[in-house]
Amino acid sequence: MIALIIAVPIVGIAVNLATVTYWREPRAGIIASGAAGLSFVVALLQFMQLLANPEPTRLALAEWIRVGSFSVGWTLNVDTLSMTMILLVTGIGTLIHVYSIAYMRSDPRFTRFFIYLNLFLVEMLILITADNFLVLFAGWEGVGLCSFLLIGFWFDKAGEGAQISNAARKAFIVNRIGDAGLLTALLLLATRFGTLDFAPIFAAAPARFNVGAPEITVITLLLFVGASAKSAQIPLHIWLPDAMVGPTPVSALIHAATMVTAGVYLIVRAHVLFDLAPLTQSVIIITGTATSLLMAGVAVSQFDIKRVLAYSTISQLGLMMAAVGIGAYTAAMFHLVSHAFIKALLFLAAGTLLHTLGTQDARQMGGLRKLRIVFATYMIGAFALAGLPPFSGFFSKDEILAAAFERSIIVYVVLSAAAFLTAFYITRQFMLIFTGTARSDTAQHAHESQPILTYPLIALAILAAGGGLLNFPGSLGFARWIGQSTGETQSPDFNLLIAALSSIVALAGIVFAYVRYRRYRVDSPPESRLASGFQRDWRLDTFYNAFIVQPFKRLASRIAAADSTASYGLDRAVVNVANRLSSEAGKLQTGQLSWNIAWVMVGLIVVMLLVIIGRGL
Amino acid sequence: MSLLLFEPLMMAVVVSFAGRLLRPSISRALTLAALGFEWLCFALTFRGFLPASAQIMGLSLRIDGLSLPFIALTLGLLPLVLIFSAAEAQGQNGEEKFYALLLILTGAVIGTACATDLFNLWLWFELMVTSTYFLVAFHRDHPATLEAAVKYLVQSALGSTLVLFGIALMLAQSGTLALKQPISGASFDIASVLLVIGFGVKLAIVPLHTWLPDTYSQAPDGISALLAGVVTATGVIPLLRVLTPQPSFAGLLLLFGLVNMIVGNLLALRQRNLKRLLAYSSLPHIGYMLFGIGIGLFTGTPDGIQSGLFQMLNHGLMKGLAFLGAGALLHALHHQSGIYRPLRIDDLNGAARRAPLASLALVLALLSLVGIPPLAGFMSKWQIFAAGMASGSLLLIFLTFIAAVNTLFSLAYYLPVVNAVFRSGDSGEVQLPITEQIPLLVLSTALVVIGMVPEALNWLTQPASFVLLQSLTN
Repeated sequence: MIALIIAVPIVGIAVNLATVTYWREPRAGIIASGAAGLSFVVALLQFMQLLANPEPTRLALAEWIRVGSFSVGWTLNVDTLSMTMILLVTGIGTLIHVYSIAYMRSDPRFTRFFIYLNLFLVEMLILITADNFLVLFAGWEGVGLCSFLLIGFWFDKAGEGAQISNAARKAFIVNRIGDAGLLTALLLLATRFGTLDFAPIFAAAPARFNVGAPEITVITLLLFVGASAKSAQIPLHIWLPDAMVGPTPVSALIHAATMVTAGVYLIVRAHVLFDLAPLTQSVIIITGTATSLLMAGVAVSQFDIKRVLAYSTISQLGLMMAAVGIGAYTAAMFHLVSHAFIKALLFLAAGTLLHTLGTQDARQMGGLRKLRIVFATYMIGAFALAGLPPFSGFFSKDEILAAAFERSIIVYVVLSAAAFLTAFYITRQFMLIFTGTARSDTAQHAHESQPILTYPLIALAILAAGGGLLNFPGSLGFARWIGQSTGETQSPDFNLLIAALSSIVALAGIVFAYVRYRRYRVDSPPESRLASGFQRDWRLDTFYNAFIVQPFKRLASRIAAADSTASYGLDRAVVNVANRLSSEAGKLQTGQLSWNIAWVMVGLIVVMLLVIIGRGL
Repeated sequence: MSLLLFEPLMMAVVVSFAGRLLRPSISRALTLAALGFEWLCFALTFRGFLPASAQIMGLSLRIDGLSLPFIALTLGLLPLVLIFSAAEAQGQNGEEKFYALLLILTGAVIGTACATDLFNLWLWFELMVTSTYFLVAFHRDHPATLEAAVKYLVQSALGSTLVLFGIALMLAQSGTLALKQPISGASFDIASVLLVIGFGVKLAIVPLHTWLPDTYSQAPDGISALLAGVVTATGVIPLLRVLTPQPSFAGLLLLFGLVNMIVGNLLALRQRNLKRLLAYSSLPHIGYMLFGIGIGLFTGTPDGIQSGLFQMLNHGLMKGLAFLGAGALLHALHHQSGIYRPLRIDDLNGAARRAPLASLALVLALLSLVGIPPLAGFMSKWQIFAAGMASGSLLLIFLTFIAAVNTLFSLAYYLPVVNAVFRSGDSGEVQLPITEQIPLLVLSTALVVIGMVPEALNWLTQPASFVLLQSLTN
C-alpha cells in the first residue's frame, strides 16, 4: 500500500515518457496531476490507518548493496513524522501540478515540465520514506537534480538564458558543498556503527557516545553542513534567491514548501544524534537565528516580488533551524507545515500576478485590489506569515518563540526582531502590489485569472488560515502525533505573555509598513541607507566571488599553464613512445605470407628454447 | 550426445540440398530450426536426459565441464549471426552453402569440445578450421578476401602439420592417444611445444597471429563475429586438454597472455580501419583469457580459471556485438550510399544520428571491451585482476599490475571510435533491416544484464574450472 505512494508518480512519468510524441498538452499535465492526486489519496488512506494505530509501517522493497556484513536495503518507513511530510508533499504537490497546467500553457516543453515535477515527487518521497541514511542521500541528490533541472527549465529563454542556466548551476554547486558534508557524515556513521539504518544507529548512539563527545559533534556538524545547504542557511543560502528565475510553480513547490525543508526534516529525523552534541545545537541556533534576522532584513528592501518571498523563505527556514537547534522539534515541524501552506499560497499568488502582468517588479504594480481572489488570498497569506492571530503562522511561530524564550532571552529577542521585520516586509509587499493606483498600463488593465489558477489559491488560503488548528493551544494534537516519532512528549506550554508580545510585534510591523507605504509612488524618495545596504544581500556574492571563485580561477589557470609546459611534455613523451612502439610493432605485420610463416617458425623455436631452458634449470 | 553432435552435420546436408533444389530462404529457416533443436538437445544433455558420452564408429566423445562454455557460446552466438547475415548472404551465389557451413562449424566446435583422444580432437578441430576457410572466402570475387583466405589457409595448414608431428611423437612415446594419463620425457616436451605452436596459430598467440587481421577484416561481418568470438577461443581447448598437468604450462599461459596484451594493444593503437582495429584488439582479449586461466592453474584455485573462461564468454559476446555493430554501420553508412570500401574511424562521424541503434550497439560493445562498469567486460576483467591480486604471489601481483595497465592502453584506441560516433557529421537517419536490429538488441541487452548479474554465467564456468583443477591434481 505505501509503495503505491511512490509507485503512482513513477507510473505517471512512464506514461508521459511513452506518449511524449503522441500526446500534447494538456494531457501530460492531467496525467501528472492525476498521478500526484492519486498518490495523495493513497497517502490519506495510509494516514487514517496510522491515526488509528500509530505504529510505524515498514515495507522492505529490495536489497540495494551487500558487501560482507554491511548491507543497505531499500525499506520504506512510514511513521508519523514521514507521514506529515508525505501529506505535505503530495497534497501541496497536487495543487501545484494542477496550477501548472494553466501556468505552463503552450510552453514548448510542457510534457517535460510535468515529467520533472513527477520525478521531483518521487525523489522527495524516497527521501522522506527512507529508512537509512544512504537511501535518504539518494533522494537528497535526486531532489537536488530536479531542482537544478527546474531552475534552469527556461535555459534558452531569449536574453535571460545565460542568467537562468547560471542560477541553476549555482544552486547545484552550492548544494555540492552541503552534499560533501552529508556524505562525509554518512561515511563516519557507517564506519562507527557498521550500518546506515536509522533504527540501530539511533538505538546505539546514546550508549556509544557521551554527551558532547568530539566524534558525535563532528558527525552532527557535518550533517548540519548538508542540511544548511539544502535549507539555505547562512552562508550557503546564496543559491535560493537566484533560483527564483525558475517557473513560479517550481519556486512554490520546491524552493518554498518542500525541498528546502529537507534539511530541517533531516535534523528532526536524526535528532537523537543532535541531542548528544550541545555544541552543534548551539551552532544551529546561532546560524538559524542569524539567518532569520539578516534575511528578513534583506527582504525589506527588495522590489522583485519573488525575491522578497525567496528571502522570506530563507528567513523562515532560519526560524525552523533555530527551533530544531533548541530542541523544539514539534514546533519546528509545526512551523514547517504552516509555512509550507503560507509560502505555497504566496508564491502561487505571485505567480498569477506574474502571469497576468508579465513583470515581477512591485513598482510596476499597485491598485490590483480589483483582482479579488488574488487580493483576498494574498492578504490571508500575508497575515499568516506576519504571525497575526488567528492565522496558522501565529500559532507555529509562537511555539518557536516560546521555546526560544525558555532557552535564551537573546535568541528570543533576535527572533522577535526578525518577526517584526517579517510583518513589515510582507505588509510592504502587500501594499505595493494591491493598494494605491496602478503604476503601469498592464496593471491598469489587469483582470482576474482563470479558475484553474485561482482555485488552488483558495484551497491553500483555507489551509494557511486554519492550519493553526493542527496544534491549537491545549489540544496538542499535532504535538502528540509528531511526538510518536520524535519521542518529544510535550511542547512548551502556551505562554500568554509571549503570545501577546508576538501579536503586538506582528501588529507593530504591519502598522509601520502600512503607514510608510500607504502613499507609495514611483518617485517616492529612495529607501534609507540601511535598507539599501540590505538590498545587496550583504554583498555575500561579491565576497564569494572575490575570495573563492576568482582565486580558484587564478589557481586553475596557473595549473593549466604549468600543465601545458611541464606535464604536457611528459604526456607527449608517453604518447610518442607509444606511437613509436606501435609503428615498430606494425612492422611485424608485413602482410606477406612468407614472413607470416617465418614468424610461426620463430615462435616454435622460441618456445622450444624456453622449454629446454626450463628443463635445464 | 550423438544427437547433439550429428544433428547439425546431417542437417547441413539437408540444408544444402534444400537450398539447391527448393529455395534459399527455406534452407535459412531450416538452419534456424536445426539450431533451435540443437539448443534443445544441449539442454536435455545438460539436464541428464540424454547421455553425456557416445561411442560412434570408434570415435569416443564425452561432454564434460570444459565443453560447456564453448558449446553454449557457439550455440548462443550462431543463431544471432545467422539472423544478422541473412541480409548480407541473401541472393548471393552459394547462399545455401553458407548456411550449411555454419551448421558444420557448429558440429565441429561441439566435436572439438567433446573429443576424448588426441587424434579425434585434431580431426574435429581441422573440420572446424576447414569450414571457416570457405566462410571467410564467401565474397569470392573480392581479391582482398581471397588473399586473406589464402593466408589463413596456408598458415593454419602449417599449424596443423606441426600438430600432426606432435601427435605422432606422442603416440610413439606413450603408445596411446587418450587424453587421460600424464606423460613426461624429453620427446614429450618437444611434442608439447609442437602442439602449443600448432594450435597457437589458431589461437592467435603472438607472433603466430599474423593471419588474423587480414582474415577478420575481410570475412563477412557475421563470420568475423564468429571467428573472433568462438573459433579463435576454441584453439585453447586442445591445449587445456593435453597440457594442463604440466607444471610449466601455467607459466607459459601467463607469458603468452602478457605478450598478447602488449603487442596486440600496440598493433591496434594506430589502426584507422574499424574492422582491423577490432581484429587487432582481439589479441589482448585472448591474452586476458590465457592470463586468467594461467593464474588459476598457477595457484590451483578456481577463481582464476573461472574468470578466464568468463572473459572468453564475454569476449565472444562483446566482440561479436562489436563486429555486428560495425557491419550494420558499414551497411547503413556506406553500402546504402553505394560506397564499397572498408569503414574507417573518420567515416563514423555522425553515425549516432544516422544509425542510432547500430551506433549504440557498437559503443556499448567497445565500452564493455574497455571494461567500463556496469557492462559485462568490466566484470570479467575485474575478476581476473582480483584473482591475480588475491593470489598472494608477488610475481603474479606484478604481472597483474602490468595487465591492468594494459587495459588502460586499450582506451587509447577504443575511445576515438566512440568519440567519432557522436561527432557531428552527415545527417539523415538510415533504417536498419529488422534482421540486423534483433541480434544487436539481444547482444546489447546481454552485455548489460551480465554486467549487472555476473553470477548468471557461473553454471558454465564453474564446472569447467572443476574439470581443469581435477586434471591438475591427477
